[in-house]
Amino acid sequence: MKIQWIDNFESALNDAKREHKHVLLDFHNPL
Amino acid sequence: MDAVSYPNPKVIDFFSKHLIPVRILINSKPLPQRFKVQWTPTLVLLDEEGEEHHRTVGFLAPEELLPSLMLGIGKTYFDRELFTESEQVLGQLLKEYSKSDAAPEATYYLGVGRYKNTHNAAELKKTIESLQTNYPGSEWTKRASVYQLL
Repeated sequence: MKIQWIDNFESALNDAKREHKHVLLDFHNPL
Repeated sequence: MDAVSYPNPKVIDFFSKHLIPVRILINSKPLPQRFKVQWTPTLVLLDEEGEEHHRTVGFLAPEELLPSLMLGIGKTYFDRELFTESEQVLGQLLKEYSKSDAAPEATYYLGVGRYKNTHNAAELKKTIESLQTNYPGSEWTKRASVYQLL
């Protein structure tokens, strides 16, 4: 099991509405 | 975060139950500019309309990340005047993570949420008493200190 990240902001908002969840943005630097 | 906090089973379970997590590269466009993010890691919690209610900057270990996210969810409900839901989340935070850095702020919002829900000033008195007892050095104890005068 691991966190299921998504990369589309608009999809995240739609998913949050449908699933009654909150959106978490993780701004990161892979280096 | 990738090495320590995100692989933690409790963190994975919390994300699965409560969050739609989005990863954004700091050098991408347009979200870093839109949310005025200059440093990583930065976590921003939004409601389903895309409105921000909570953010943190810097590394958080699992035992601090989870209460920070719970605080953010509680503040989201508070901001939307869903005081019963806010109280439920913040109460759970204080039950499970009373020693965390998020706990004093959660105590503050729990108390003012109860006040807004009931209009009973005794809730504010109880809030400052709880903060003075449990978190005497916290900035949130200072912010609530005026409630002693009620």
